[in-house]
Amino acid sequence: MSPGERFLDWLKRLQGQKAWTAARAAFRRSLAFPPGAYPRAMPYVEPFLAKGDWRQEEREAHYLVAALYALKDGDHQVGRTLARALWEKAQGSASVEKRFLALLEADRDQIAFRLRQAVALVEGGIDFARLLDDLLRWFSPERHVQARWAREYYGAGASEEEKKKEVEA
Amino acid sequence: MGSLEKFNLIDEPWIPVLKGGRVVEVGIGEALLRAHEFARIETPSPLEEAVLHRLLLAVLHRALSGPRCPEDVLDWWRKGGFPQDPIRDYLNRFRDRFFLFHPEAPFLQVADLPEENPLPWSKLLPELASGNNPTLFDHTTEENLPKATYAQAARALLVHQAFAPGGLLRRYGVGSAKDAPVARPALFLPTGQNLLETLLLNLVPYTPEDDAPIWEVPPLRLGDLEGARTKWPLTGRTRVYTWPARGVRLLDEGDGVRFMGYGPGVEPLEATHRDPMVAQRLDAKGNLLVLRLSEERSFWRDFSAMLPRQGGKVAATLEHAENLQGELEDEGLEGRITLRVLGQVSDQAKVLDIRREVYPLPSGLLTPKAEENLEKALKMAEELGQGLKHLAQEVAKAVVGERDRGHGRSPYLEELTKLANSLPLERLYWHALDGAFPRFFARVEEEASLDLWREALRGAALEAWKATRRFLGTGARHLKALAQGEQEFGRLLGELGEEVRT
Repeated sequence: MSPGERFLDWLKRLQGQKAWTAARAAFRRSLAFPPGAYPRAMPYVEPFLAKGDWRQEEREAHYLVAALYALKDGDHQVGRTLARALWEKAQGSASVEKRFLALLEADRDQIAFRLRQAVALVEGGIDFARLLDDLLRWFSPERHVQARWAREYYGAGASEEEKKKEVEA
Repeated sequence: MGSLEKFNLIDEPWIPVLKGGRVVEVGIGEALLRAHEFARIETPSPLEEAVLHRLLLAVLHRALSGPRCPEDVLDWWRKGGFPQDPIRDYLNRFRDRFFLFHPEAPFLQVADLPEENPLPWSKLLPELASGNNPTLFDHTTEENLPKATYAQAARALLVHQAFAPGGLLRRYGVGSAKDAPVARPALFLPTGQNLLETLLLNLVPYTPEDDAPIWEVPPLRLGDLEGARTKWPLTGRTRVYTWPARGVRLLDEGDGVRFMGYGPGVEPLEATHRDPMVAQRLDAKGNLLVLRLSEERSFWRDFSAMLPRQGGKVAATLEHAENLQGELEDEGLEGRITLRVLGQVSDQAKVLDIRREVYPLPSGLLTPKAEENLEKALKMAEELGQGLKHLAQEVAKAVVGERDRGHGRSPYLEELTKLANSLPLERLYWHALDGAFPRFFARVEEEASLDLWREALRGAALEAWKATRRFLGTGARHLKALAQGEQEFGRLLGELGEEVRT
């Protein structure tokens, strides 16, 4: 089980409890703060983090994903990555592509804001477990995650277009 | 005429050969009479390698009045040497014509060429910097011109007479000189396990009538050459092997040569003669053109163009070596042969590069199966190469972004081209194939060779693509370009696979 999947289990369990309403409000509100800096969200994340040994940016990634999960009302769709969901939304729109490219370039200060914009933009849920896994490796110097996102975005485009062509033919 | 007869090329050491792992210099006589003792002619210069072989071959053809047929060559191969007496007799007969310095008939030179306006001897070699030659390997300047030894000067003289590119001369009534006989073509030199085998492999059957090397005709004088008065048809094997393309007179300084008198040579007239070391290909209009070396591509990429399948003509030496190899294998004799492709790459009067490419010579090269495989393999390589070139342009376009192209040579298009050319994609691909081709070529007539080649193409393309990824970096635009490129790349590799099945 990946770290993302474990955290998603945790969020799912939280979602099944009465406390979810308050938690969801706290998470959504936390988006106005730097990740991990909003005290009211802490009770819902810290117990999970206590089980591991996390660096600061990894802690922030958990808070961020929890907040985005709340923003989408817990709509977790296995396998639907953010990049793919963005491509579906874009359908040739240059502005969505621009945002996607900006997201790929995001540094530590920008990532929370741009991710929030992007997640708000797409319709339907996404795979939050994958999102966390990717965020945990987002700042690795090889930037494998960003490269894969680009492949998912542009790759999805080409294969859909090809399918369309096949149908037309 | 101050200089005496000096430095006879038959006896004096000047041909560098490899003997027992060491380079020693020998004269023409020793090189021919003890050829089986020497591994090969060993010189860093591909042009020297070519001309020294051509000179030895010219002597052999004349001394042996043949070979009249391939059986003669086989016979000498089996005996492990040339008939010694005819060679000795012949060399004795023409001994007077092989002096590097001679008052009447210096070897391949003009005795009465004035000493005024001498040129530095380095003008003889394209690889030494002088005048406006591009500096290839050397930083000699005319002010610090080193003295050439007699041996060096003799080799340089041969190189110049064979390879001098045509161009402005402005001496003795001749405005511009024509190309020396092999200034442009690629030369094919099959080589065996020792110098004897190598000479035999290149000793293409020959009729001695209507031909004479330079030492069998009266020595040329300045009066013959002024105003391009002497014109010879470019024909006759040994005549062409020893062609006096320029008038040269090396000036002896007692222990070496620094300067030379220089002027026009014999002007070549078009003839139907085909140099045995030269191959031809068919151009789009149906004309046969000599196969040349090219600056930016390795020679193997043009290999199939000279095959009969595509209307070309392989070099006679290559065909001869192939036949010989076949005969030897039938007799259970080993004849492992490598093929050397030698020559210079030139742009008009400028020599841009000097090449020596070495390939194994497979025994079944001139069979229909091998020709077909070779043709298919090269076509596959070119097509994938074209695909990668296009891919590099697409990647560049994606990085730079779509913009209004404007008209003509817009800065946008220039930026695009520059970026595309800077990508290592195509270069690394061909570079990897340079290494892989000899392995394929050695097995070209086998059924499995094409699969081997396909794997090589795939590997080369993958390596090149990986390097391109690393090269381009990880900015968002670059990731986008690579993600899109990867699709195209996958398609290219896919096409490669499909051709297998057909």
